[in-house]
Amino acid sequence: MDQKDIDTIINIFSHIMGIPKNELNDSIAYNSHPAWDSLKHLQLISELETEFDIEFDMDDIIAMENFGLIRELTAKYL
Amino acid sequence: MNFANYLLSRANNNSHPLIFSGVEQVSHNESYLIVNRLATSLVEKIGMGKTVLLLADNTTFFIVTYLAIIRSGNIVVPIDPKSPEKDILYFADICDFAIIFTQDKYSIKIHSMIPGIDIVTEKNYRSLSKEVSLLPETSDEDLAAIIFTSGSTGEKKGVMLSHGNLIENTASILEYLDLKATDRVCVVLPFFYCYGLSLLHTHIKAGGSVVLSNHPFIGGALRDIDKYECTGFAGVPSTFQILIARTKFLTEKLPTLRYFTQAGGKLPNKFIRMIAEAFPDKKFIVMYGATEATARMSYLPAEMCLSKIGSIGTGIPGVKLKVVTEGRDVQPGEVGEIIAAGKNIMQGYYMDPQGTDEVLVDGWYHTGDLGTVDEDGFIYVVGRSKNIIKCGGFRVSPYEIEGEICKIPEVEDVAVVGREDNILGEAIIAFIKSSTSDPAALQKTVQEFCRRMFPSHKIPQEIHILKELPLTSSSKVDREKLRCMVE
Repeated sequence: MDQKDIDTIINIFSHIMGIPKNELNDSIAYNSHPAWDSLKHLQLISELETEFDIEFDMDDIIAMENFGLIRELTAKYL
Repeated sequence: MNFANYLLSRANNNSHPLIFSGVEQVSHNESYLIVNRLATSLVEKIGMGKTVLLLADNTTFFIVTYLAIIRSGNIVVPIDPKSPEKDILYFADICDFAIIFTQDKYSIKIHSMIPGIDIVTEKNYRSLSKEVSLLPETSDEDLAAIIFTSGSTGEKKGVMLSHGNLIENTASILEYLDLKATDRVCVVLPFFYCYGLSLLHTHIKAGGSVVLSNHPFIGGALRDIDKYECTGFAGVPSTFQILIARTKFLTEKLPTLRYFTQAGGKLPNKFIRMIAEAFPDKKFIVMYGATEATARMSYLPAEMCLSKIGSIGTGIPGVKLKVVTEGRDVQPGEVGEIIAAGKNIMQGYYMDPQGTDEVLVDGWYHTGDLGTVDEDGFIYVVGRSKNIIKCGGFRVSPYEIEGEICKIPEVEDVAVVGREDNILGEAIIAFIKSSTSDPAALQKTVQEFCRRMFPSHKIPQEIHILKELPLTSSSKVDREKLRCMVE
């Protein structure tokens, strides 16, 4: 995964969750950030899959509980 | 009788687990002790008959504080933690909360919105516990809960439920689902929603267990069903549609599972068939309800799931359900409004006698849903007389979304409609009238505005910018034509 891919993930995540890019960090998590709910999670997964032309395994989608894990688990497919 | 007392009547000294929440496990007996101690301190602190805000995710904290508020003779108001600020301010304004229970992560936000009221969080609620003294009795008619739901014009309606309403509906659901102490339900539905609450009520009363499945992705529930050996799973249409579209749900074994229940809107027949055929050894029970009826009004027995596919069944024990038109019952095939009577029907809308009179007429609750019956008396929902979209299991008023979007300067008019969606049940589509020279920029502005203003289930999935909105002959926006444009 190169810097361009990382930037793409940041852009998609920031756009869907409504969190400014400069406020993003790896510890932003599903169970602590009010904007992150299951519908937004689904939308995030769909956009990442479309953008990178990949299909996540279910267990990876479940495990993406914070922004750091989203970057790490997406990298497995690139 | 007090509803919490009714639920916990066999909890004392019962070491069977009631709550599974991650690594935490809480027994019926532990819950019973915490609830009674907390209720005692609440009575000392605020007395009884007061409204208490409960704003929390599905957690042990929610369950024990919910029960303690009811046990103390106060009125619990559970609300969606992701409610927009204007809604929370409205709830606080009309309810005049005596105290607030919330999680630490929400407490700063809530304190800044509603200053001057004591806030109890999951960090300090146990320190409030007092040795149990004599707790007040309540009558069946006393209010136990106010649950807010969206009205058809976007306003919030506070459904007032008495101890008697809650006891009646819980007993009825227990009877037709035949729940026992060995039952364990995997919960993905929020407890601020009447369907989620009904799962909690029935499993406490049955002596069973609730598994709080809090994952960012609903597929996590499939893992939890196996891990915790659940016997039941409940969902709204989008729950099942997401599982079918995004997981290997239909090829899972789920060996411990005995039944699925589905309510909260119409799951298209093709999906009911897929599930029934994929799990021939499990029951799939379609149900119908409303917050105004505490939760449940009808169910279709699992053995008729395919022979009466598309039906919501008949009234549950203790509920009379019928379809009427022009003051008489409809003939088979004829369309009318679905109405219900029973001890589960609400006391009315909080501080809204006019709204109450519109839906409670001569002891019957008028659902606003259009239905028909077949020759055997089974009821089918065919539409809604009220303009409501059901997105992700939530009732969404198009007027509420339109009212907010209209505040954007470049928007001249807006109409919001629902469209059948394989994932969400119904998707929200917004049509905007604007003479802007840059429709793409306006589309983005509206999208970002909605993300800021609304919880996820109210954000339009599609935004279309038009020079003109189609009108009917009476010069109203032609919503039918708009629906056809996106079908």
